[in-house]
Amino acid sequence: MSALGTSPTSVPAAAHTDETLVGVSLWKDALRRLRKNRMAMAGGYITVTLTLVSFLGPFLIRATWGYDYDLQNLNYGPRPPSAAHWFGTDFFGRDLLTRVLYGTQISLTVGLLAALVAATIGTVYGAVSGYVGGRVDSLMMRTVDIIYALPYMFLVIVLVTIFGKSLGLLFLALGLVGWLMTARIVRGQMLTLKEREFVVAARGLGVRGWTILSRHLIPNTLGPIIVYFTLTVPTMILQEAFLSFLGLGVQAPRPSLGALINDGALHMAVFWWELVFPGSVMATLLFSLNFLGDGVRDALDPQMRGRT
Amino acid sequence: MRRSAFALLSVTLVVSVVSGCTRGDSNYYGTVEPKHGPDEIWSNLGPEPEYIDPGKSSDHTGGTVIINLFAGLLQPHPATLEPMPDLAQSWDVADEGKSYTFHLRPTTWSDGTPLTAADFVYSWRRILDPSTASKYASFLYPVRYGEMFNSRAVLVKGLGSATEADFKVLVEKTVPVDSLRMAPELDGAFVLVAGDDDARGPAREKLVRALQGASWSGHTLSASVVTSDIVAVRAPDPLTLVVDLESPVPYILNLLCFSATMPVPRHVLERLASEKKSTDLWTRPEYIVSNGPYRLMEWRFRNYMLLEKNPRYWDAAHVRTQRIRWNMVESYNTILNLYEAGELDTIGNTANIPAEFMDTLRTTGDFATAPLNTVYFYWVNTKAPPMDDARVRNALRLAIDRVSLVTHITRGGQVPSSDIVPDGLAGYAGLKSPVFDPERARKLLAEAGYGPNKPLPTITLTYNTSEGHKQIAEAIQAQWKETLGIPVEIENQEWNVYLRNLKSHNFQLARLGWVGDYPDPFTYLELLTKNSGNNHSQWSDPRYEDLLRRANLKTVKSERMALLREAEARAVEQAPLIPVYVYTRSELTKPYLMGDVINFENRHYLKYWWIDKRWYDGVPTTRLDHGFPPRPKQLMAAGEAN
Amino acid sequence: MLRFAVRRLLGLIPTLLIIVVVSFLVIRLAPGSPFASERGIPPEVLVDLKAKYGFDRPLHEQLVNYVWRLMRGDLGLSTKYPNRTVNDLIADGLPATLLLGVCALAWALFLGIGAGIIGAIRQNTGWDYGFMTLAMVGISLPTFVLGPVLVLIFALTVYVLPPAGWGDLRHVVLPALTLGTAYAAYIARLTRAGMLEVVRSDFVRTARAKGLPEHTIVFRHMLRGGLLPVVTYLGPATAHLLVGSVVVEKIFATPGIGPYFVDAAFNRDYFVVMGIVVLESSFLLVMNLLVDLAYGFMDPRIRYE
Repeated sequence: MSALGTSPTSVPAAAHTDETLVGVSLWKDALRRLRKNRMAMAGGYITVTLTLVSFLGPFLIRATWGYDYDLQNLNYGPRPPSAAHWFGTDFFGRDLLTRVLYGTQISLTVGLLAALVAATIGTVYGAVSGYVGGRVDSLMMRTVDIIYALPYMFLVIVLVTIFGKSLGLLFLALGLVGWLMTARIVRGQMLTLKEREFVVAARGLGVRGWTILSRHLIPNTLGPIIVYFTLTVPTMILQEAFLSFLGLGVQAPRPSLGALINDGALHMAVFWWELVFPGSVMATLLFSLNFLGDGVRDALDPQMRGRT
Repeated sequence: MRRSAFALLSVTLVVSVVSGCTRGDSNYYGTVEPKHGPDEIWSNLGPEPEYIDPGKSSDHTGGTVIINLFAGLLQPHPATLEPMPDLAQSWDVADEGKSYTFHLRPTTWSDGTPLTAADFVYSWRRILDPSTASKYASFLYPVRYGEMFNSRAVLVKGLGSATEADFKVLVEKTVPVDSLRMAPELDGAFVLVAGDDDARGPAREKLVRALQGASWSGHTLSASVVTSDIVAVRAPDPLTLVVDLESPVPYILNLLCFSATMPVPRHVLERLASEKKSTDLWTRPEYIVSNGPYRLMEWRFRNYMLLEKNPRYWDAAHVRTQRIRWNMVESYNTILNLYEAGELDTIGNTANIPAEFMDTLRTTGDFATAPLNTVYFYWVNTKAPPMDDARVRNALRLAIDRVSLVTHITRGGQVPSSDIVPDGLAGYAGLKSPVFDPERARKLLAEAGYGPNKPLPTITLTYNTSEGHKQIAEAIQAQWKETLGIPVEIENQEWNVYLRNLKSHNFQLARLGWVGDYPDPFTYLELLTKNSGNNHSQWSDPRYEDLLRRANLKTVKSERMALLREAEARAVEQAPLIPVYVYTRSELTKPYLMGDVINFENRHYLKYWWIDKRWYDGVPTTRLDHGFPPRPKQLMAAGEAN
Repeated sequence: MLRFAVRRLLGLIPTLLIIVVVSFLVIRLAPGSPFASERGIPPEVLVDLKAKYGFDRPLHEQLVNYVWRLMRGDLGLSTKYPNRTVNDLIADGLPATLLLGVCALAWALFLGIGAGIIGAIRQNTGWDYGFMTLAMVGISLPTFVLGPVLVLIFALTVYVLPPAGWGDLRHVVLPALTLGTAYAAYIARLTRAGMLEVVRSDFVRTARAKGLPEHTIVFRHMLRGGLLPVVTYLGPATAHLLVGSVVVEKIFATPGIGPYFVDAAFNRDYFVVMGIVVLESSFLLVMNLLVDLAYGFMDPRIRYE
């Protein structure tokens, strides 16, 4: 019995016993393994905590101190962290902690969602392209090339002109470039995976294309997909800040993490806290997402089964 | 044991390296010993200029280069900007200020070719020639018929005593007319045809064909599109230049200091044309010939420019530094870093110190600030409700706490102002309207009918994307909310989109910074005239225009200023634009760089700059004088020689 | 394989053509004009300005003219820098950008692949977490943060390197480090992910069983397949690097072509934007072709029909 069972859905052939065998589904097994991965769980908990704090925190703050994200206090001005303002204040005397929390709300929603959408579209597109191969693959990848080569800024400006500024358009503009790279990576993986023995075997057995893709191939490419997804999230967050230059994205005085970091970087020589705190929050978010993603990848890795 | 010794050693090493390489005097920003010899100065120009051709330049960096490479009829005093002679030694005024005769001193171009009045004639005609496509052509419109030439007017002659009405009827039979100008002194009239860009050319030709040689009411007409010789500037001899103006211009001598009036080397352009090359190449270092204090030696695109003293400049004896290096750095953070490291002796005249850095930099010995001839406004679209009510506009104007804004937001010592013209500009006594009057603002809003029962609809304030504009807009948004209780949305737009919306009146409140072209109140007041292409408020007032027109006919300064003041008072209450403050310019200059002062047009005249050599040997205890030329005598208008 | 390569090379031309046409139309669709300014321009002057660039002709005629001149290597005139052609602008700026890009790439590859391999081989150990943490730091620090931080340390606190500018090799160090680090982080993560796919395959186990030394296994056997995702990423990433980074070049005042893309877009300098699009697309298509060819080399099972 070799390690031919590289397909995640194959159940190791069990010897006939008296007990009823409970089949373990892929996902249940993965979840179990995930829970045992301490770093990944830590990442997960931190992400969830961050989300909760960013949505609930502002209420607490308003109740305690009365701060809001647009409450200016010009006489107070920018000050470093203190007991009254844990993250300090910005140029207008606005409490930075409140602004960071609000900004995280927006960036989480927009960033994560946009990255998820981009990853999904990219995976499906790339998988189909790589699996089918031949002329279809050529055509699909050429289309990716063309879209990639178009001047992004102009596309956004034109879209804004046609559709006006809206949240939906923001997602579209963000996701527009995001899915291209995922498609490429997945397609690349497909090209090598589809020649593997288990695929050949499945095909020989008459399993349909879609089934092969969804149950065999895609789960095997999840590794790079997840990694690239976690890499896309910071890009989305910062990209949103760039888009606000074009008038898309959240408008002042509503903050977003990307905008806060951008502004903070400009003044870091004089107001270090304006960069350090939003930057740390984003870094924390990325770290946790990263370890969580790694954990998920490991949990789904068929070759690690039986190694927990 | 060994580990801690190593740690100690490395710490010591770091400390000694750091302290050995730290800055000079702690009250200065960065190093204070020049990193180059005393015969050289390193400055920053900013973004690449669009043109350094006096006839085509329209941006600030281009102008900065041109005033140092070229010389014109007059030059300004580096500190006060009062006009002084440059190529023109003296001049006579005639015809009640409508005609000037300049007597040039004999000079040559940097390649030795003699410079004559004919060069001026050529250059001025060139800038007014529409085929030169000079964006700043309107600068020379005060010269008689300059605008006609630039607009490709058709001159119809032989009209005798025909009336304008009759003539108009005649012309409109053939083509639609944009405007007419009777010119009895030429026995004719100018016609500006109407229509789209592609329609006007054929319309002109049609008109010329119809009227040339035609017979009308007993007259024989002639018609042609005007050529460059209509422009009323001529050179009766090589050292005399005669300029006729449309009407007396009180600030004409200031205008003649500008880069647009400086001559271009005709012989170089003509040579390039004959070699079938693009004449735009003439400003490249390998071709360029100039007549000013410096010559262009090297130009690395978007990297730096190297200038060297021009020995053939007539006043070369007073050009103090041999070599200048101009870097082309755009980002202010980078410029500040380069300055701190001593790679720049001054941050130049384009870098803006952002408000956040003001408090730190203000305490250094490098910092200097002075007011500028520029005002920060918001345009109001007077045709878009609720802004069509002057009371609402005025309420908004009075509800801005400008002092707080300037103190906490812009922090550059800007002058809060709710008036259109800066107080004190060329001796103008400003209105000094209240810069914050929340009581009156609330009253006005109530008078206009708005209150808790009828709340004001949300107003949108747009600005072009920029950190500074955003901060000001956010502050004002909060102030209006607090003082008037009204919701205002702010929106940033990318520059091109912003301009398009401005010009198509697709806005309610839009931000603007207006740079005065010349030191006179009229440069601001003419913004609100009906015919001004820059008036985006859609507001105009016949009485206002009348006051302005009458003011410019006055020869006595006090009478003129009084009329201008009356006009301004009218406009301010109507609030077609909402002034916020008068700009200041803040700069950092190394203490060893002398001669670099901030004048209110923000122009850098490098020939006055020099290095104080004492700083090579440490920090001197005294400051030297800049060594500027004496201020011109007050009899300038009468043409006294200096 | 050769036939495949040739076919793809020929296929570049129509793809490029489509990119040019679509980009041209998208660019012209955007509102705004290259001659927009706060001050009005006299109307007749505007007529002549437009004629100089051919903007007075109907759009389809402009497109045909552009493509025709493009085939002869003429990229047009800039509206922002009127006495320079787009060819001039690119020729002036490309050397700086290329030098910077190559140095940044070298740094990114060295750091990234190294970290990724170590992370994969020593998965879930201190080495792995350490390197991956560094990688995440690299990603979390966008260039506009890393750049100024490096300048603060190496140029302002100690005057070891110049804070900006371009002239000799000292000026390349900080921008290359800034630019390369971001890419290094991506490369490290993707390398590790790719290597992990391979690290437990049969042929690796066979090689280990055979007793081959670790470094042989890594470099002779694992790298080929494991680098697949990285190579995929490197295609467009290199093209991107070679066209320059707006942020880095602005921070360090590098006279390259990086800022053109964004600046020219804001200025509606149509021909400059098109020129950069053509340049980047050509790089991109060529790099992607190389990547596809590399696939064949790296994993012999991949077949192209």
